[in-house]
Amino acid sequence: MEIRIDREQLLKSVSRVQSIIERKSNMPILSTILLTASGKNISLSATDLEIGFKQTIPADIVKEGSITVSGRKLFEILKESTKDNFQIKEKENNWVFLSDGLARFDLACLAADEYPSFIEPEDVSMVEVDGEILSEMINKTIYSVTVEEAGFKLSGVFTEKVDNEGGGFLRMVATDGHRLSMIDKDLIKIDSLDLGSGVMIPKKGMSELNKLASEGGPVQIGFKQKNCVAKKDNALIVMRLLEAKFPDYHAVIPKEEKYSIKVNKISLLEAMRKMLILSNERYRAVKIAIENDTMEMVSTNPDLGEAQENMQVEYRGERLEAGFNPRYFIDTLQSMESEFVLLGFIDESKPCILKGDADKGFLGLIMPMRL
Amino acid sequence: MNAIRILPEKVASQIAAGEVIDRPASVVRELIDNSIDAGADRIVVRIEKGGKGLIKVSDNGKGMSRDDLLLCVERHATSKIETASDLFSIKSLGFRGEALPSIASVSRMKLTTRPKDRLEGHRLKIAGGKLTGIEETGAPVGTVVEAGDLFFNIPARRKFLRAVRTETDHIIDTFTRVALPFPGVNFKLDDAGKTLMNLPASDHQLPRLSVLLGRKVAESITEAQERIHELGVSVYLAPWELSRTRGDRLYVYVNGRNIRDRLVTKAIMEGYGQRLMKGHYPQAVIFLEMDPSKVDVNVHPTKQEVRFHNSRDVFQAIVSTIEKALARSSNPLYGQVPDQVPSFVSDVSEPFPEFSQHVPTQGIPARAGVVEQPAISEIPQIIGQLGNTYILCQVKDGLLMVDQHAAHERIMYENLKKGFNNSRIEVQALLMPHKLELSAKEKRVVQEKGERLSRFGIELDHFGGNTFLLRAVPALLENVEWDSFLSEFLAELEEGEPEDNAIFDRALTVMACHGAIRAGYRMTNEEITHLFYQLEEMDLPTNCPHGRPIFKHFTYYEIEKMFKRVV
Ligand SMILES: Nc1ncnc2c1ncn2[C@@H]1O[C@H](COP(=O)(O)OP(=O)(O)O)[C@@H](O)[C@H]1O
Ligand SMILES: [Mg+2]
Repeated sequence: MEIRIDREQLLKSVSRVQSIIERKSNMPILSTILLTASGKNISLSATDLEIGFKQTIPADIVKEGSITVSGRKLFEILKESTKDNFQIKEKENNWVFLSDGLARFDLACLAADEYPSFIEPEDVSMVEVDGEILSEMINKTIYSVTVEEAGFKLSGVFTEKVDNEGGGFLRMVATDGHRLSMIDKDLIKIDSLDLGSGVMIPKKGMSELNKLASEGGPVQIGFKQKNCVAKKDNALIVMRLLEAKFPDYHAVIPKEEKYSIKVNKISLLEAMRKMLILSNERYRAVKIAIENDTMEMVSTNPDLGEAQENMQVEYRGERLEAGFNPRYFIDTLQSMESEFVLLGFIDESKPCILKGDADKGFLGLIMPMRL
Repeated sequence: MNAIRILPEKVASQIAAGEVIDRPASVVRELIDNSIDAGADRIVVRIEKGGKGLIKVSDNGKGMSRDDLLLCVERHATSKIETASDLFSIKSLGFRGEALPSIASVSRMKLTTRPKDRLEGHRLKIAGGKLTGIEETGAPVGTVVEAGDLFFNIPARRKFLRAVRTETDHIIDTFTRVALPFPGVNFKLDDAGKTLMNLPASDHQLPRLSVLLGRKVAESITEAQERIHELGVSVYLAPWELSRTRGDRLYVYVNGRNIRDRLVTKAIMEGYGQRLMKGHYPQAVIFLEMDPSKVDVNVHPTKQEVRFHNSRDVFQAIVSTIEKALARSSNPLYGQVPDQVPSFVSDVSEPFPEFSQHVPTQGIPARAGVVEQPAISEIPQIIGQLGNTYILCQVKDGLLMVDQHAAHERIMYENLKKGFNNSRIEVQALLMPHKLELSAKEKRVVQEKGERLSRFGIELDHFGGNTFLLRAVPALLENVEWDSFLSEFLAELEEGEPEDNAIFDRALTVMACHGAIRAGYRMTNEEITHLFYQLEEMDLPTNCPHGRPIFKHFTYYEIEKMFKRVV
């Protein structure tokens, strides 16, 4: 294989797959990038066996063929160069020559035919989604996913199709058992998505998908054979869905809330952050008491002392008291865009519901702590 | 006046009788005891053929007159007690007047003795219990007892003696044990003219501890003395890292007498607390000094068991002395590691004085030369994670490996315990209650000990049959496999009294274990830093609640040796 290529363009692709390639894997081949030249393009592939990424970039093909090269080293070489053009040439005995015209590198590489083959499911029916919307859906759910620890069940975002009279919408739900975030978005032609009774997309895959989507513009997504496929321009992501089942979450979503309290989002966010100062542990409760248009927040740390803040709210009902983990509030509020959020309460043992006018289709639930 | 009397029948019958001589080592013990009781400061033991040929103990003590020499081999002849009430306040090692007649009855014995106030000495010969002669002789002040041909007249017993090597080892063990509390006495042990051991008189304890425990152990020992309510406790504690699976390196002394005692062993274990793994015993030497009337030594023929009158106080005193002493050892993340603690230095010229009413109640002066642990000297520099299981970091004097699970377990445990003790474990309600199937036994625990569960921050509701709903859990516990956690947890709660702290501790340990990050969990540098930061706040940052070590330290010196940069 021998090619000449625009350095900036290659750098962009190589840098985006850095999060996929495994640096600590016991399969050295997974730390490499596969480059295949044919026709007028090269394709660049990276995988950790759970997620595969492939992108085609135009290039001057001198000679067709495939090579693998260390993803990390290629990235560093491209990044340090200031030249426009870049040359990659396969040499004998698994050596590859790289040059920007100034510096020359000979790198050892692994045989390209050992690269794990990239199975792209065939005949996937794809649906077009606005990248910005997809990105919003991911941003508003991913933080509720359980911290990834080996084999833990809920470490993904549940994605399903919800039928509605006027058509269907796409729903994403995530929970770690203490809180839940859910978002619904209308989607044209959603019928052709093969989501069955819903799928679990792994957290790492979701953040890769988010990178693709957040650039804006249309993204094609489709599901088939336990895989999720997403395409945008010349890039393709295939990721393996999680086998885990998502619990039946419908039962925990309150049918109606008893009290609804309107709060300025920024003020609440800032107050919660202040409450955190006195609880250097992730699990300490902040006590919320609401009455007479005032919301009082108190956080007590037996070792350090107490923090307290009052906020103006609109509420004239009976006194409400409940304890919450302030981090959960911060995560949710940070993802929301509304100037005012609506906090829904039922009683001190039921979840607090978070919604906002500018966060259409979104619902956040936070389970209380015992006071 | 050294007047031996035959004890009246009434007193003799109250003595815990029994065969005191079963092997050469017990002869050695009894004879050394006598020499110490006679006030000797130089005691030479000579053995041949593992003591089966000859045991000869020479001392420079006060010796005996001719009359006493004749009396001392009679049963129940002693100079150490007179009346039955003396039995309850024994200040000497011997008291029953049984050792010499017992040895005399199973060996060919020669006693040569001269008291200080006489120019001539006497020699008495007795074989198989029959007096064969007494004569005047020139002799240095003191007593020499020779017991030859042990069990020559009881072939059945002689047959049961073990190999020379084994009996010699027993004698060495007895010799070191008996010598330990008397550093002011010069002890020597010869085997057929070859010196096995020479313990010169010294005003500190380290040389004898070295003989007993080995030099390396002795040098890493933590020492402490306390006086609590008329009870003197001196402890010499090897670091927990040197614990063993047998309690064979626990040496306990009461008023200079080596004893075995379950209660004291338990107290030592409790003092080490979570520094010990299950089934492990530390290496330690404990000297207790107390009013002889507060401890009954007339319990067992070999005088190796005692009964304390205030056993609770003794227990508590030992536990608190050890706890305090060990609390000084440092956190290897920031300070020095335990085995670099400066070795034994003492102000105390006589670490275990004979009990007397005049011991100042202020306690024994603190040891000199203790280097206070420096405050955070240098933050460890994180190198990375090994196998997503161990954290490697560079510290001032080398490499430190940290077991991430053990470290986090410790943090979880102490945080949970703090919450538990203040009755405020933070409780997080679950969004979706977790359904559990319990066994019949577990169900009973939940229904009968339900109040215990809620103290731990666990809310379980009966759903019907054996099904329960887990509704709320301690907020500290994340990513827990609830089913396996609860079955282990309920098993701990099942036993014991409602207020048994040991059970609560075990239950909290189970919680900490399940809640802690596991081996195989990849940590970010921030997480590691946070872990270290929290670990620094812990009371016992060196061991997980099961007693496993959290740290392993490799000094540059050890590493250099590994790479043969130094030899
Ligand atoms: N080495 C010794 N020096 C002086 N007196 C001794 C010595 N050994 C034994 N005696 C005397 O002999 C007595 C009997 O000794 P023993 O049979 O061991 O009984 P006990 O030690 O219980 O009194 C002692 O009470 C002591 O008076
Ligand atoms: Mg005696």
